[in-house]
Amino acid sequence: MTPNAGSGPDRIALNLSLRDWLAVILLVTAMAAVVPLIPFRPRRTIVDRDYRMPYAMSSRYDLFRRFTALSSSQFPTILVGDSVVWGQFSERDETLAHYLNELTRQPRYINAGLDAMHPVALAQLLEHHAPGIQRKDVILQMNPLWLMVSRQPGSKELADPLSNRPGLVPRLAAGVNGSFQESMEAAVARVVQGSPIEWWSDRIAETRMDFLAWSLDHPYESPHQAISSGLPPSEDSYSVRKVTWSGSEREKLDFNWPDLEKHAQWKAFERILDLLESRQNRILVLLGPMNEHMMRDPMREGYQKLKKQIQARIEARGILCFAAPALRSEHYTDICHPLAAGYEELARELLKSQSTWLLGGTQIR
Amino acid sequence: MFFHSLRFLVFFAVVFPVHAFLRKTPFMNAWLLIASYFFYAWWNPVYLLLIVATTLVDFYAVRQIEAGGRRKMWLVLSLTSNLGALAFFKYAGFFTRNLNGLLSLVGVSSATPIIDPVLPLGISFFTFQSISYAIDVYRGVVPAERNLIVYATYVSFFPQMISGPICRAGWLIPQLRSSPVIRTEDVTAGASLFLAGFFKKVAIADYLAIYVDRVYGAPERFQAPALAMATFAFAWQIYFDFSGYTDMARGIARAMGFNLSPNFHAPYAASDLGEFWGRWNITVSNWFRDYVYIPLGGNRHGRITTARNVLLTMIISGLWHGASWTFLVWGAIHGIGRVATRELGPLAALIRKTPGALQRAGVFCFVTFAWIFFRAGSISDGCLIVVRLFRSGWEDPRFPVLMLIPIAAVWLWQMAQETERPSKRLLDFSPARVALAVFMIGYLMFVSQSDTQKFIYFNF
Repeated sequence: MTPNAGSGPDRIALNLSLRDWLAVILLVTAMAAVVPLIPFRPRRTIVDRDYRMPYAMSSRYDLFRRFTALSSSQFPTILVGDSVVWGQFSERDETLAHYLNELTRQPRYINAGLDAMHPVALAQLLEHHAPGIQRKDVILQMNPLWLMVSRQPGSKELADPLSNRPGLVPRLAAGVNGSFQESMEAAVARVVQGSPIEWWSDRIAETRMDFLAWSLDHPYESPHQAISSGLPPSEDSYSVRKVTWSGSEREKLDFNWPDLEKHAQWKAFERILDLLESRQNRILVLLGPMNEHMMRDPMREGYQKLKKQIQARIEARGILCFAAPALRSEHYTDICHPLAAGYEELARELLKSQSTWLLGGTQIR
Repeated sequence: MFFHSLRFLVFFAVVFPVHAFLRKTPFMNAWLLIASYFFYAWWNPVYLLLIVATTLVDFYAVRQIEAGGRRKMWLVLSLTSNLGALAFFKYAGFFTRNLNGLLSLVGVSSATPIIDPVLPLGISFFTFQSISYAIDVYRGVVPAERNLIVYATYVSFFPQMISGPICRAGWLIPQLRSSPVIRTEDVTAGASLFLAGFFKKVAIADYLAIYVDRVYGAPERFQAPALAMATFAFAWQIYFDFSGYTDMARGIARAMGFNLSPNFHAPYAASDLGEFWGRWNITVSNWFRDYVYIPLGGNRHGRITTARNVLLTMIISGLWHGASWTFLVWGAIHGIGRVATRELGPLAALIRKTPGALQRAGVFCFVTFAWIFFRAGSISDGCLIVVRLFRSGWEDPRFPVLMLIPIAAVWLWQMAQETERPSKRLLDFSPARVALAVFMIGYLMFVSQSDTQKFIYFNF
């Protein structure tokens, strides 16, 4: 057995010589330099007021960038959060954004929720893939689900939220102590911010073609259609389960709530607030709506305390916080997701409590 | 730290020049060891202790094997250390869950606590590499390594530590002991391999994954054509994913002056199942042949015993891939297939008479069918898919035509490799190589998905 390269499996099919590589580098550099210089015409499509990112494309952050850029120019208020905002168990015209538009009789609100977007990931998403969200009204959802911790140390009953959105989670955040550390990508981005490199990389990102994920929903169409249209069709319906949770004792949960100060998700949430403020957005935090009916007594009592603590922390920063009350039990499908009637109830409660903020914000720019 | 990440680029940008500087000094292996441990610790520093501990036990035990006296005892100690770690981290959860299931079946309500530790990255590979070293020394195939740093580097060499290829001591240790020569062609060949692997993974495997994930995520919602297409797509996804990883690993090592063992050789062009396993994950297949199949008796004791040995080896190989019944079934299907086509005379004779293209197509379909259980989330999902493949309706699969392009291109390329057609020599032409490389980089920059998935074999 010798480690010499030979024929058969060890043969390298594409074996570029030094001269080949120099030619490749030259051509790729030319391509990368020229492409951003091509006059870029933003594809100004009108975003439908019930638009939401297709579920299958929820990892297409370049698409999210385009969507938020387009919707920012059209809607004064953007709803940001996870699957609760997106409407995991409802049609696109049964979400919180939809009912706010209905109740205010204005097309003011656009749904920019994405499935499984916990605060650690959301901080990265907003920082690097949503430059369009600036000088806007932002309803930022805080889902306490991401703060739940198991009653027994080491128990794996509760999946690690950081396993969601791996592309947006800094690697060390998944370490044994759960501490949050800035990713190398974020650090590099910070260095290049405002430099020609950032301009160049933004233009490259804008030029990226979205047709791979798009082809899944349009298997027999030419990719040209995807490239020439602004956004892929909205998600009309994703859910396969639109049923109320059982309400039984057996299904009730009993998890602990964390020490807020030490929790990586809370620290990330504070970073989101800093970021949105630094971009001169007007923020309203929507806390919840958790299904308190599905919590056992100790968990519910802990949740009430946590809610007050979070609300106080947010209001101390001069930011409005609407701690959603428990909706009717039959309006939930699980521990945090409302059904259509739940979203309507939530929208009414929100409007009743925060009408000044909701109706008196910035104008469409 | 994925190979296809900015972190790895920065890591390698530091490791490579220092390695090039130190490669003719006694510090080369120390540097490679530090780099390898750092690479591993980036994922989880605590689990580095596991590698260090098993390395120390193996190093000492194998030295004792060579020294003579109670050789078997030291071998058993080394094997226990490696297999014990593997059993605890990989199979304890599977075992306790099934035990609880069995107990509840017989009406015992007190459940055993589920032991389900986080699976250390690459444990299946570095333990197998260590086992092969201990057995090879025991058999007198290779001498025991006397330098702990060299041995520790052999176990944890970062390009191949996480997902192979599993390199035998006789292959890699001599390279680590000598000063590697880094010629221009090593760097360019390494970069070429890396680019090809990167493209396979990010541009093709991840693209196929979006269809496969959709269908396999909810098989009850799809009918036979979609299930069939998703299964074929998965066959190619796992090939591009794993062989892409191997290409990247080999490219990185090659640029540093090392040759890792080849691991894939157009597996879907195989014309029988034995040949398939000689082309797919070659180093792992050879490992099972040398350390499981042959010690079980190989083909030395008649047809029935040989069939049993083949079947057992394939089932163990299946379980090595994952602690789940689905992997066991996958291994068993391959085992049965190999026994049927190799050991059952009339069937084997019939197969030999069929044209080569049909044999290849048959092997590909069989392997693809077996992948159903490899990919399915559970045995019931796997069975559901099989049943629906034959009994459900014929709804449009809505398989993106675009996905067929890379599959067809690679299929044709592999077929060309098997023959002496002019297309085989296409890439001997420099402008064609340059054009292909520019296309691949341009595609990765402007078309491929921005959110890549982790390698499938990282799960094992």
